[in-house]
Amino acid sequence: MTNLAFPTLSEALFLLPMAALTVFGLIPITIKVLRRNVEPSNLLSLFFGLGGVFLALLGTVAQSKLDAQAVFSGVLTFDHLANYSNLCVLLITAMTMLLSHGNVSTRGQSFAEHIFLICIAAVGMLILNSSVDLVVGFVGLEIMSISLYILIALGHEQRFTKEAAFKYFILGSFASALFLYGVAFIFGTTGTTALKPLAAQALILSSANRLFLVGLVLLVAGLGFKVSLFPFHAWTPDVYQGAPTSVTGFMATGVKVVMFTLFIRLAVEGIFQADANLIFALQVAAVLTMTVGNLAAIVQDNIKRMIAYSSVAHAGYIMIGVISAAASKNADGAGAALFYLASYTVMNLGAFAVVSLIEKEERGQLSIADYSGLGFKYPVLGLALTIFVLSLAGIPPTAGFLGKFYLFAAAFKEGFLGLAVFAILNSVIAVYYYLRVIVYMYMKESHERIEVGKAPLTFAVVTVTAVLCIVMGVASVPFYTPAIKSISNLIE
Amino acid sequence: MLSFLIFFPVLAALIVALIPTDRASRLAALVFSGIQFFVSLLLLKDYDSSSAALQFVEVYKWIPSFGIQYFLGLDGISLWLVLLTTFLTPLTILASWNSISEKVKSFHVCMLLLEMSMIGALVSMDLVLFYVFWELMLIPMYLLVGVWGGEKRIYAAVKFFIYTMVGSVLMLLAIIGLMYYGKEQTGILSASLLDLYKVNLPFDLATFFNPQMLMFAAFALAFAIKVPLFPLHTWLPDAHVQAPTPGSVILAGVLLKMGTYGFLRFALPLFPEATLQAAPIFVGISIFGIIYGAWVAMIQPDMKKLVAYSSVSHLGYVVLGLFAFNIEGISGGLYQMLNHGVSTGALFLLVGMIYERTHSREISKYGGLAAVMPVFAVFFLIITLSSIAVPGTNGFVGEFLILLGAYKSAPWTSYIAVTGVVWGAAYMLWMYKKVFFGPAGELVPEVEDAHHDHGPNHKVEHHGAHKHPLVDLSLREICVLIPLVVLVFWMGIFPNQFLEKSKASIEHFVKNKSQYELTIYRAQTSDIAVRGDLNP
Repeated sequence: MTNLAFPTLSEALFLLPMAALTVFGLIPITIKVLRRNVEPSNLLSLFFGLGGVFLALLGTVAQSKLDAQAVFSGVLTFDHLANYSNLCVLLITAMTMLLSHGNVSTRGQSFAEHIFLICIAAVGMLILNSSVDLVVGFVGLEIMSISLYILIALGHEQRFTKEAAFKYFILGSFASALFLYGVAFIFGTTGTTALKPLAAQALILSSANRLFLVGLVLLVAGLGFKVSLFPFHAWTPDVYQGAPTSVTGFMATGVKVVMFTLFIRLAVEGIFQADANLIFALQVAAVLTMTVGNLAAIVQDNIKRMIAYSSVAHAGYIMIGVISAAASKNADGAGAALFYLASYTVMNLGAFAVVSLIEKEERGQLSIADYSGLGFKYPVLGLALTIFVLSLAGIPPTAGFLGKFYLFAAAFKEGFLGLAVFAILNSVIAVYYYLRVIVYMYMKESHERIEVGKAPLTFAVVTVTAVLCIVMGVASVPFYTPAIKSISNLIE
Repeated sequence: MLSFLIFFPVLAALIVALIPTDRASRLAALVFSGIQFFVSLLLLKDYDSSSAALQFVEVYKWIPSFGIQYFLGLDGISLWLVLLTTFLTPLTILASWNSISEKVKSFHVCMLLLEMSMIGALVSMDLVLFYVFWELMLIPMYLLVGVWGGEKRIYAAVKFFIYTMVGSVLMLLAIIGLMYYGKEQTGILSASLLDLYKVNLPFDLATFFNPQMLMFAAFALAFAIKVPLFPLHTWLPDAHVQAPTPGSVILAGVLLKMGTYGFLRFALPLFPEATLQAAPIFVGISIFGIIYGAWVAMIQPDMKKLVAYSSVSHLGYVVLGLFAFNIEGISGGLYQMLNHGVSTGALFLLVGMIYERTHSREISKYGGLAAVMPVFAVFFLIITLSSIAVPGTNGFVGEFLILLGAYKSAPWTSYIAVTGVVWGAAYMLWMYKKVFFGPAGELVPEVEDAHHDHGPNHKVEHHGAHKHPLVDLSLREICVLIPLVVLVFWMGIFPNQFLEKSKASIEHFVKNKSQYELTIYRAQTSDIAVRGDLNP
């Protein structure tokens, strides 16, 4: 562990985004306490939450000009990679708040707490993005995870949410323990938890002290749980289904972004080169993740479960980029993974936003059959969901297509042809269940009248994400170049 | 110019989507696609047929880090296919005037977007851009079949989509591979077709698993599914039978040509050695397809299915022509693509017109139609004759050139393929006879005599109305068919007016091809030379 020196004032300025989120997140619940448990109006809570995100966003944009490699005695970094992921996380946070405002299961009750928890989870995510020290990373991970456990449990609907919260809590704690246990092994064998010095020793240690590898494997298991890699994916559908839809979107996108950022950091530092078998194991895990996710998604009738399994598959695709980066120090793979994360964020959040609009309190309205006739009754909403689904399936001209293109190109360049072939055949399987949504939307008549709730803010999210989906698919350069640049800065 | 042809339909689709009433949106779609057609005619005027180079070129950077460009261009091969697309679209919109009565606006948006993506695929000279349009084509077609189709439409639509997807995703991987091999040789990552034409992909006669062969296989699979070639054709009858008439027309008229066009533009010139080695397989498959398609067509009870299987047979000819690798064969192949677009498109329109009246396509339920609908019978006869390649019609020119080309490259292929002409005549004329002559069928009312115009006739009329009022073609329907019939004869009598535009491009293509043969020869001899060096 590094010796921590007291931070200087200029270093402390880097904490402004996190501070802004914490303070603004605290305001609504403080008001609630002062008014003796009377909820401030939802719009007011939302206003403070968004205000916090906005300030954090300003801070992040300001930081992105600096490219500060290491601050706080080298445990946090605000490099381009951190900034890229931070921007993603902040946008996700803002959209989650907007979705929560209009969602049935969060509407009207304990919204102030809801906003607070989202803010705190976002703080954890920002810490994770910036951490180049495993212990600090763990702190970020726990801040994020614990906030999420409570966020899920706050859901209005009783049975599934409580089950989901409990399941996620138990399994998530177990995964955190694995992660920490791995860190302990790594510290024991290398005497450090900082990534750079650790990477320098990795190659030597892997042959000298196998316990280092044990630690590394445990670490990967912990990470794998959070990004739902096979075989650590089993919790995903239950938790995604049970959580309030806005929170599901938050988990599905935010957690993936930050955990993969850490994964990418480990890969780019060359830590996975410690053992050739490790890279092979990751390849196997990636292929199985995609295949299992896609095959399981085919048989789902509940749309949230379907997207849950599809997000498992997407984790497998992203792994291609991570593996390409892990095998050789090259910006292409990691950059592609990063771009894919950004596009995945957009399309997945959009899809969940549509789900959030359709779902109803009493009967759920979550089966795919409930979408019958949506396309012609609500043409704009139908078009938006079509765009998200096509993008998830990787069909041009959407973000998802170019994301896959970059990933496959990276895999091809690094010689992972087999991986690319598996992934591409998998995307055909995926087309089948994504098309089902379109089939119901446009080709089946609705049995009962489909009603869409009035939630203008959710509509705004749908519109923004749908437009972004197309923009990233047509003009990807402004999104892809920073991703590549953030990695190539790291390699030099 | 080409960008206009791509983006004008998008704009038109947007406007159509905003128009409130069905009737107005229909009219707008017709007007816009008509404008599109007349604009595309300007291409014909400005096209320099003496040059084999790409014309109307537009190049902009798209994804610079991968050398991917927005690169459009037109040559003698794509020129006619673009025109075919812009020609068929307004006709099908006009033909669907009454048959599409639900979700009219969305239907026309789909049609216009389909036109956009087809033109985009035909003029893209960058492989990734081509792939984007190639995939994009699937979505409107999928919706056309799935939303406005028949009873089993969803099954047919999903089958169509998945089949095509399987082929095209592997092509994407091959495109990426091609780009990186190009980079190895030229040092620049580029997806431009002109750059990639220059790449010499590693090839090894001894094994199938060499890079060039594998990439060729990926491309060929994508195109063979689209054409469709024999074992991969099963999606076609389903899609055709379930699709609404306009969908079938566009599917047969243009979409299938994307496969043969892909062979001609990409698979053959990009992978010359692999093509040469695989040529016998493709010739064999295409001949088999010609006969097989014709035989299966012969036993179909459903008119639309019969026409669908006849497509399999006709496109077999096209592929046979392309793989003859000589001017006659390739010109014939190209000509047959246009012919098939015109005559099979027209056949689907005709079948659609009768279906609109009776809601049945079963051949056995008809008979004696010629007496009730004489104008219809005449049009049907002309198109039938064109489809079976009677001299004087367009079909004859195409099939003749193909058979000539095939004869020149390997005589035995033409001996077998020529029998397909006979089978073709057999099933088409058989259908014509059953439907139009003979005793009046179940669905066809007895013809009333002219004298019966007075009182007692009431009963008969009632009886007729009960069956189905079979009125002859309306003015609108005649307007749809006349341009097609004109083309049938025009293309049949003055083929040179069409062929000379493409001549330079095809000659250029064939010349390159013989150079490839030379390089193969050289490669083999230099192999010997190297061995000679090793053992002095």
